[in-house]
Amino acid sequence: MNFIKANCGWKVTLFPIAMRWIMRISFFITTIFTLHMAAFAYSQKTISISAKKEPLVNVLHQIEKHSGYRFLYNDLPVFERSRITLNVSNAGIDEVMQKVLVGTGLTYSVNKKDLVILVAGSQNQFNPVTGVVRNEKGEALAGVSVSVKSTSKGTTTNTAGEFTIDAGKGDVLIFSFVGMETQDFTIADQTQISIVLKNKASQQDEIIVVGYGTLSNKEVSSAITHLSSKDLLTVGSNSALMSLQGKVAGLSVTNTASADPNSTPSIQLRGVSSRDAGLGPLYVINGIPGGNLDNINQNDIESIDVLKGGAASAIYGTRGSNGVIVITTKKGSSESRVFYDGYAGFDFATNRLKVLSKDQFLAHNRGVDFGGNTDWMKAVSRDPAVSQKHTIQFSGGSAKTNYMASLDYRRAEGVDLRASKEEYGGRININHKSANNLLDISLNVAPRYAHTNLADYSGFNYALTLNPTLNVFDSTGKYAYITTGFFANNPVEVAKSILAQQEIKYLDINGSFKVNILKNLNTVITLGEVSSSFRREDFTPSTMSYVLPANGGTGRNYAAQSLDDNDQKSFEWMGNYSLGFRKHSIKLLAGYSFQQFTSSGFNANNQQFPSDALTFNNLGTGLWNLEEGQNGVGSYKNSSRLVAFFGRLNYEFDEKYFLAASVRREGSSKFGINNKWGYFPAVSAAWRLNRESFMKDIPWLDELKLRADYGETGNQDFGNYLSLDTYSGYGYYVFNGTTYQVWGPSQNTNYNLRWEKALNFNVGADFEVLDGKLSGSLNYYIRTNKDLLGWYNVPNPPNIQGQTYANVGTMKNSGLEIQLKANVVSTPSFSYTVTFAGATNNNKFVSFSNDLFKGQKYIDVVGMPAPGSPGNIQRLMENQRIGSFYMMKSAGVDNTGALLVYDKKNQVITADKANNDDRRFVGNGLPKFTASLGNTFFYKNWDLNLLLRGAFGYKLFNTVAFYLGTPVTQNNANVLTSAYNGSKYSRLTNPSTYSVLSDYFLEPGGFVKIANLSLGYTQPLKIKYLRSIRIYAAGRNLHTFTKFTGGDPDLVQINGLYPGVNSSLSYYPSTLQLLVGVQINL
Amino acid sequence: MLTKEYFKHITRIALATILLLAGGCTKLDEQLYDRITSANFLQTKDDVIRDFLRAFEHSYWSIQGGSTFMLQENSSDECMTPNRQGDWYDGGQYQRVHYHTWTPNDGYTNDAWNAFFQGINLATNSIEDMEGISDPGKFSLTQNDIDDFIAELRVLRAWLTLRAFDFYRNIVIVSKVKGQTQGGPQATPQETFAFIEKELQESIPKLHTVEELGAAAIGRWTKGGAAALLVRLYLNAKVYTGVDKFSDCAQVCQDIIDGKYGGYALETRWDAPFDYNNAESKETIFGFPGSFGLTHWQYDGGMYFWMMPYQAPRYFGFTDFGDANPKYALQPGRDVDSAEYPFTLGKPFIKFQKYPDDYRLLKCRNLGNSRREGMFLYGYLPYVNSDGHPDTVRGNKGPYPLFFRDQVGMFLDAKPGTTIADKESDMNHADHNSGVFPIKYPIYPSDDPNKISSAYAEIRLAEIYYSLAECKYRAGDKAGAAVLLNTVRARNYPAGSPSLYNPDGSQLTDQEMLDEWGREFLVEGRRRTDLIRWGQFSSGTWWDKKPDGDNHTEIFPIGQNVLNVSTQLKQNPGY
Repeated sequence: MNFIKANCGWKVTLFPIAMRWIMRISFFITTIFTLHMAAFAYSQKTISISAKKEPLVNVLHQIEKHSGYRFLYNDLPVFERSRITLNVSNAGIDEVMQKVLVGTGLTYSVNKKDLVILVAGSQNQFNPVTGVVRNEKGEALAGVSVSVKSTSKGTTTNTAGEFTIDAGKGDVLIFSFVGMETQDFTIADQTQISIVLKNKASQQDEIIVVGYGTLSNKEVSSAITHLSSKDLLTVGSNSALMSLQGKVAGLSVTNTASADPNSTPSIQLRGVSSRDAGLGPLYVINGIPGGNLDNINQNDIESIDVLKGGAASAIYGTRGSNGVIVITTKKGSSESRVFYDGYAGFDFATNRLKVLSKDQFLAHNRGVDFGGNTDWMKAVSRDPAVSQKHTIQFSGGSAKTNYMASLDYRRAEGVDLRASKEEYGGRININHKSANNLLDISLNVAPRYAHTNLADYSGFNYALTLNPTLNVFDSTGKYAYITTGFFANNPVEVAKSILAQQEIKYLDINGSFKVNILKNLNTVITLGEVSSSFRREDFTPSTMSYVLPANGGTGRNYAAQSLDDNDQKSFEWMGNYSLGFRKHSIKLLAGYSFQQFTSSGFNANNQQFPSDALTFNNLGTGLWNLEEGQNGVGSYKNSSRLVAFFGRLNYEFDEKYFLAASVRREGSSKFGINNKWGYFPAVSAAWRLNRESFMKDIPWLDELKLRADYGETGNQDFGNYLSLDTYSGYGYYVFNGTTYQVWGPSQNTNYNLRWEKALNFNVGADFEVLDGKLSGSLNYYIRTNKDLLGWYNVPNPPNIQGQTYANVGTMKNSGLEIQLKANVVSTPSFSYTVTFAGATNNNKFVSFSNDLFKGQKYIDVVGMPAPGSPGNIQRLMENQRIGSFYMMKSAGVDNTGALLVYDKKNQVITADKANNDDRRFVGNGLPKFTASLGNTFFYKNWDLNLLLRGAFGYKLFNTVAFYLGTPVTQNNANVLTSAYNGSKYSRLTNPSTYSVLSDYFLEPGGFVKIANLSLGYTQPLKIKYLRSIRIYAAGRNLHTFTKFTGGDPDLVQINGLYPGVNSSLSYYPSTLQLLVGVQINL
Repeated sequence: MLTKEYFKHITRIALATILLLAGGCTKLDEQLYDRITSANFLQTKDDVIRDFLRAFEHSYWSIQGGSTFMLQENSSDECMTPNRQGDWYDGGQYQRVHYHTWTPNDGYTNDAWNAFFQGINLATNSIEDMEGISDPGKFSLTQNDIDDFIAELRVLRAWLTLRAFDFYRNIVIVSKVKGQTQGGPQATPQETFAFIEKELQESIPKLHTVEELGAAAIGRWTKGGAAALLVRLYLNAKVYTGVDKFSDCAQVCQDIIDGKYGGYALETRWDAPFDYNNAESKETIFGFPGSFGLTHWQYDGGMYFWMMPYQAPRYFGFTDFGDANPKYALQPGRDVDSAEYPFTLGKPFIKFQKYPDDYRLLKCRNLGNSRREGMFLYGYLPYVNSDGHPDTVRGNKGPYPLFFRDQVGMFLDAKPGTTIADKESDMNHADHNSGVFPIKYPIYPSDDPNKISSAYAEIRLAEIYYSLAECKYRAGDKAGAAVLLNTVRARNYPAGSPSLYNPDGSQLTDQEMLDEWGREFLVEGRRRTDLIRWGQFSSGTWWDKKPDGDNHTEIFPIGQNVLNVSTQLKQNPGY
């Protein structure tokens, strides 16, 4: 961590001579300040400075910036606490230092290289070494583990924070304490050591990764949320992003089957942004746009920066419309470290849908009694599903060369009988500096292999509806052939007998070569390849009960394989230039980017193999393709490319005013012939009010920054070739005795296909008050997405296909986001931090037409399935919020148990008499407000995290109640207990109004969840080579408070264009997850 | 200084890279791998044929795709898709077809339009592609070949346009699609009628006769096929435009029968027009070539494969497609207590039973060697299962054997002949015993080499005889009508059967004419059109169907989704 900070500073500002000098004295200092220097200022020896109640550290910073002097000092609390007031002009260094250091207890000396060394008090010679450890507030820390590196010597501090240890010059002392950053200290001549353990990096100095570069937090002028690895949740998940759930205001992370070990969450930033083109953000992993999120081990993540504002994401141009998530993985340092993390996880189905037991089923005369007694939910579940994960990381190196390597293994099961995933992967990061610091080279390699068994989602549907008097096995011990019910199948047989698996290989390679031409000018070339390969294998044996001819089956076993390869190659070339004069600072960036995407694959299937034992491994032996006369093979390949030129200017004045402007000109091969290129400009500004003289007298205000930014971003995340007049093969037709595959137009041409653009406007404020006790940020955004890409219904005739891929429509999202952090209690032995993230989202579909495509004011969407196939449930309409339910308005239930609804004249009729013209808007499925509340406690060696998460102000359609929750559900199928428990659904006893969609089945969707709870205990150790052990336990989805009766409200998707309804009965129970794990630091 | 040296190198590298980029890395043309654009699609003769055939392949699908078959049959007095214990309720959409209470929001009102017009667009696109061929020799084709292709495509488009005309009446005439994004206005019925007539008349001289094509005639529009479409157009002209064209119709019919458009002949077995070798049948005027493996749309779920009980394929010994699905069945002729319904329309099975020696009345079963007898499934359907044990076709709502009957109700496992207490019989109250199922095309066993290989006989010579008979009947020549009908009907009965009409035509009435259309063309997707022509569609009464309030239901509403995107279109009157 420290190394990175220093590294970032050096890269930009240090030149070789100073570098060598500092290397010589580096043993003296543990934390050095990032040195901001500019060459032309180097010879200036007089100093003018004024300060009013400024922290000492800021004053020193100012002096550094505007003189040739640099400062070296231990990071003592006095630097932060002392408030300095002075006013000198054209003074020498001695005069200035004497004035500055009055009352601080510090002494200074200036060496020949204009380095000002600051020391606390006087220096005495003592042996053995003694010292004191304090926190950043200067409070003594008791119980800090102090050890001598590479020896077994160790001790802990007493209640006054003091320690004594036998160590000599050149030894490295290691200080570690729970909740603090571990620190090393190399002993020079001194024997009295003062160590300050840092709680955290000060928020204002956090390094924020922006597109193609980094800024310190105070320089940021756009809406960016930064999370470091310790902010992430402890979860056992297939995706690292589940650790972000609820953490970032405006970032909606949803997973409607989080217990499926192969599931990936849906990520949406600031509301839905397109009709059809990709809705997910762009992932930039270690600088490579379009990085593969599935190839990231959560333990490897150093930080995540969510670029929410358009100005920040516009530098990524066409791919930034849905925000950008920048993930930086851990790097090595000169310190040798080994870290192990391992956990075992247990997923227990929770918040389950309840169906009638056998006795209830028979008592309510639901169907035939087949004599058995099966709890189908139990029969199809693996409860608990077990998982484990192990990560080992090791890192080390020198100041010039360092590496970080990580290996992980994970095996996880789903709560259904089939799903599992076993994976292992690695990541190696090497950074190298040439001896003269002219070259910085880095290399990242991350391979991963996974083998999965895909979840059987239908199993739970069957389990909900199967007659409980049926048996899993028949009298001969074979799987029973089940022919009756809502869905007729034996789900246990399906899950156990049908193979559906995938072999996945990922490989990410990237390297960057940076040349430091001048100390303020460098150029970087980045090369990257992200590739993935999915091999899917399916097999249905001939012994399946429904395949057996005796049961009317075809008797044929079936097998298929398919391969899908995706490859992304990128080349980026950038130049950076920085310049500082007086109070001005300028950074310039210019670059070129080229990316090539290729997808290809093939598939083959056959039936009627001589033996089930061959499964999918010998497709050629099947006879069916010959008999049927179809070849059973297919293949595809397509490609696209992106080319961009971009530039950015960052201007700063006196650390007070910040301005950033950027433009990207980008072209994509996917667009129409005349519309390939687009411009994506952005501008942002920030004003740190606390730097203004009129704000300096407010003692409780540490930081107040106002920001505004505007940026245009694009979207080209859709299929290839959609603008072209392509011909494809269709079915077969006989001509002159020969069978031909016919060919014809496969799409309507649209040579005008162009960028979808988002106009992002954001205003915000960042603040920190009461000595950092409370900090946070506020953002208000308005995003207008224009020329929405998507399939648009076009007139027939003359269009051959019913839909053309076109830019039609405008959508507007706006919202307010609040992110707060309060250090409620902060003592050496106990601390309590509260974080809050809240976001509102207003959405409006503004328009559904453009110059070319007119007429349609709405489309009806989300067709609900059989049985009943009752039609579409939502309507996308101009000037309406997405997620608007459009169906009958209910008027209760009549005395025959029939649903009553209002017709278009508002007269009450029974629902079976109503028709489509009686529908209306009856509710909305998009949450108005989402929020989370995090609580972090440290008590001595214990740490505790609790996260509450909720969504509010929306309706959910209770799909399961509609299909399975009323007494008129199809006979011979099981029903939910809601059909007979006196609920409003139990009143619908008249079958004539089954399958009429109405708001009778809408329920409030709001919920609050105890989303995550983790507890850890860290034991510092004195054993040789072992620094500490942390044992932890974590729980996810511990309890849900909601009025929704259709199971866990989290199982209903709220991202995307159609929030608030499950349009299928697909059901994968949510789970309560428990993890028990250990982390070892060596 | 050291950095200066490096700077030189860097500058050189940078310049070289800029040149590289400017040269090659800003190109954004799309590279196609697995597709072709129309600009370079036509390279060989086979490519021309593939292009030519695109609309034909779609058209075969459209005999049932887009709900076209369902709408023609279920809106009539012939077929039904009742709610069978929860199966096939589907939001009441099939009941609205039965009751003629469809709305523009019912998906099928869009689907049929889109099915017809997609075919029309495809045919037009191919016509434009063919017209663009300036040098047929390049593809080893002659200008005559190209002219024939264009003529066949125009007839195919006329067939599709005629069907759209029959469904929606106020439609758009399409003659160009390339480069077009907006549709034209609706033509008047007279304009559309004239367009179809002209397209057919202009094409006939350029088409082959069936003899010229020989065994390759299947799937191709010949002079006879185009003339038969004129028959359909003229037969319904009064409905379409208000102008009676029965005499024109009679003339074309007579010309076809006389062999003026090619040589055709009636089959002598009732099932031969539908049998596996019907592609070569002299009765087939136009058919779509089917095959077991590749294409067989009449055996699809939209048509006959879902016109059977679930387990009926086991009864036939045909297991390749698994079980069937009883979407369609014949409407009942009897109530729950087996009393015949009093209304005159509908009751299709009873209409057959009126002539009890009809071979078609036998229970359909396979005889081996690609032969079968009978056209209906009723009663118990016993079969020997693959384990060698006797079994009977059952449903999915209970383990009891099903007994199929010409009745609708909740019979469940009640034994045949016993009365049940539940007397309700309507579209929302059917079980899996309800209804008799017609088997028009054979379902031969899995080991039969001729399973699922019939062509779909879209136009049979029998239709020309029946059309001519109707023209003669309407012209008062009942005897002439009876003779023509008997010519076809002779194959349905034993020699000398009393079921044949008296040669004087004295038995023929409007009702008998309509019934006989129903018998010969049962489930061939034309019953709605026939009912409208005979004035019965909106005013008639049949099972669970009262007369409509007026006759606006004789054309379908244009689906709301179609109207939404084509704002120039006006909804049909009454909707």
